[in-house]
Amino acid sequence: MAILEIQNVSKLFNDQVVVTDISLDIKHGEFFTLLGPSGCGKTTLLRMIAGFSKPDSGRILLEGKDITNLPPEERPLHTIFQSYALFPHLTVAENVAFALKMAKMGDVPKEQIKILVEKILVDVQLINFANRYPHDLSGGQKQRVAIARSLVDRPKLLLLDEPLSALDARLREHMHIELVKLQEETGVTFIYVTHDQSEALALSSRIGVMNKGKIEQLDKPQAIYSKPETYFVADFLGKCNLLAAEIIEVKKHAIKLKVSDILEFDLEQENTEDFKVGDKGWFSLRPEKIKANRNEPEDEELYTAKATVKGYYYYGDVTLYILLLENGVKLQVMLSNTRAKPTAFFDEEEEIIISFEPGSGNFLSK
Amino acid sequence: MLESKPSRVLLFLGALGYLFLYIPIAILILYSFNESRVNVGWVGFTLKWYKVLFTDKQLMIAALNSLIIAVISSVVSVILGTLAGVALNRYKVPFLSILVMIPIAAPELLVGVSLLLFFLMINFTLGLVSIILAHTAFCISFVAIAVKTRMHGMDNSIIDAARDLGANRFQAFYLVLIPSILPGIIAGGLMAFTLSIDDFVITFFTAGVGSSTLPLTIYSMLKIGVTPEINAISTMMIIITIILTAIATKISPQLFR
Repeated sequence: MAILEIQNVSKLFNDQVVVTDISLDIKHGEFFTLLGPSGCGKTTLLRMIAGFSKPDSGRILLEGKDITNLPPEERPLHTIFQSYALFPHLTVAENVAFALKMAKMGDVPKEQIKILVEKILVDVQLINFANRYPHDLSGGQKQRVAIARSLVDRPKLLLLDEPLSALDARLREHMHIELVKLQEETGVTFIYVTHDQSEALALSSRIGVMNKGKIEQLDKPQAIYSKPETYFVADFLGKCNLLAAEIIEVKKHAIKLKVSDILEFDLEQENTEDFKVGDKGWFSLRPEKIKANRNEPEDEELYTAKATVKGYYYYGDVTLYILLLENGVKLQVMLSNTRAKPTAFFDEEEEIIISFEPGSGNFLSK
Repeated sequence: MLESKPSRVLLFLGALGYLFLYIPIAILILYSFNESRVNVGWVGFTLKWYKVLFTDKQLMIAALNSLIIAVISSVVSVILGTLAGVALNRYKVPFLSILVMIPIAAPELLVGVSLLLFFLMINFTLGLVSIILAHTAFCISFVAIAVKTRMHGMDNSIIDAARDLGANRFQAFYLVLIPSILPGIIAGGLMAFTLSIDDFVITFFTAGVGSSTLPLTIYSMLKIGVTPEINAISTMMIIITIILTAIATKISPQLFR
C-alpha cells in the first residue's frame, strides 16, 4: 500500500525546471532513497513533500489525502536536516520535546511528554545528555538528537536530507547501521536523499535515481546496480566501463553486438522486439565482472579478448587495472587482492587475456 | 594546545592602552570626592557634591528626561530594529542594507540638521517626543546591525525545523527565532540605550524648551567651568553603565565572547 503518492509534480525556479513531471509511489514502511548528483532536484522534491515549497503543478497525497497545499506544521511528517537544525537555546530534552509540545492533535499531557522524551533518549543512548545544550555535543550526538526529535511523536513519514554528510567516514558507517535499525524498530517510512551511491545501495529497500529533475530508474538496489537502464545510471552508480556498441543482428532471444569496433558477441534478451539492426548505444560492464589472465581460460561460456596493462591503482582490498584493448579503447578491470603476497598480479605493458560473461553486462540504448 | 599566555611586550602594550582609556575616568571619579571647588589639587574627601547634585532641580529634571528618552527610544528601536535585522538576513530587499547603514555612517550634524528641518516643515513641536523620534531613528540601525550579525552565524534551517515539528509561523518566530537571536537583541538594545543617553549633537537640534537632557545641561554648565558637580554626575553615569554592562554579561554571556 502506498503511504505517499507523488502525482505529476513539477517545479520551476526562475524559469529553470528543477523537477519535471515526477510520479512516484512510496510504500508503507519502506526505506526509500532518492539518489542523484547535486542539482538533480532531489532536495527540491523532498522540500515539496515537507511543505517548504509548493509544486507548480501536480499533487502530493499522504495516505490518500491531498497535502499539496498544507503548511509544513500541518503535515504528519518530519524532516532531518543536513545541518541537524537543533534549537541552540534549548536543551537536548527540550529539543526532543518540541514536537510534542506543539502537538497538532490535542494536547499531550506533561507527564506523557516526559515519559516519551526519556524513552526515545534511551533508545538513541543520549539519556545522560538530556540537560546539555547542542553546542556541547559532538556531530554524531547532534545527529542522534535530530533523529530522536523527529521520531518522538511517531510521524507517518521521515524525510532525511543528506543527514550523514557532515560526519566522518567511520561514524557514517556506524550511523548506517543505527538508521536501518531505527527504521525497522519504529516502522516509520523513510525517504532518504543522498548523492552517495554506496550509502544508497547499503541502506535502501528501493532507490530512485534522479538526473536533471527526472527519475531515471526506480528499483531495488541490486537491480539498479546490476541492470542499469541508462548510461547515466550505469555511470553514476559505482565504476563502470561504458563502451560504444551497435546491434548487428537481432535473434529470437539474443542480440548480437559489436562493441568498441572489435568485440563481437551475443547478449541474451528475454524479448528482442524493441531492438533492430543498426541501433547504437553502449555496452556497460562493471570492472569486477571482468577476469584477467596470462593464458586463455578454458570456460567456453566466457568471451575473451587481448589487452595490454597500462597501469593500476592499489586500493588495499582490490586493485583497479587500466587496460587498453587492441584498438586502444580503455577498459577498467577490478581484481580482488586475494593472494598472500601484496604484489600486483600484472606488470605495466604486459599483454594479457581478459574474459567476461556477456550476460554480466547490459546494452543501453540511452 | 594553544599558547594561552601572551608575551611580556604584548602585556605591556595592552596595559598602556587600558591606562590611556581609563586614567582620565579614574581622575574624574577621584575629583568628584574632592573638597576643593576647582579641579587642581587634592584638598580632602567629601560627599557634598553628590548632595548638591541631588538638590539641583534643573539637573534632576534633565537626568529624568534623559532616562525617559533612552528607555522609550531603545525599546521602540529594539522592536523595529529586530524586525529590520531579520528582514536583512532572511530576504533580499533591494537597498535595505544601504538604508539601514546610512543613519550610522552619516555625520551626526547632518542627521540633526535634517531632522530639525523635517520637524519644522511638518510643524511638529520640539520637545521630548521629537527627541525620542530622532533617537529611535538612528538607534534602529544599530539594533538591526547587531541582530543581523547574530543571525549571520546562525543555522537558518532552524526556522524550517520549527515549522516541520508543528509550530506555526508565529510560534516559530517567538519560540525559536527570537530566543536564538536574543544575545543580538540585548546587545543592540544596550547599544541603543547608551547611544541615546549620552547623545549630544542630534539632541541639540531636536530639543525644545523644557526638554533639556543631561548632556545638554552638562554642556551649558561647562560654559561656566568644570565644577566637581559635573564630576559627580559623570561618575554616576559611569556607575550606571558599569551596572548595565554587568547585567548584560550575566544575562547573555555569549554576547561578550
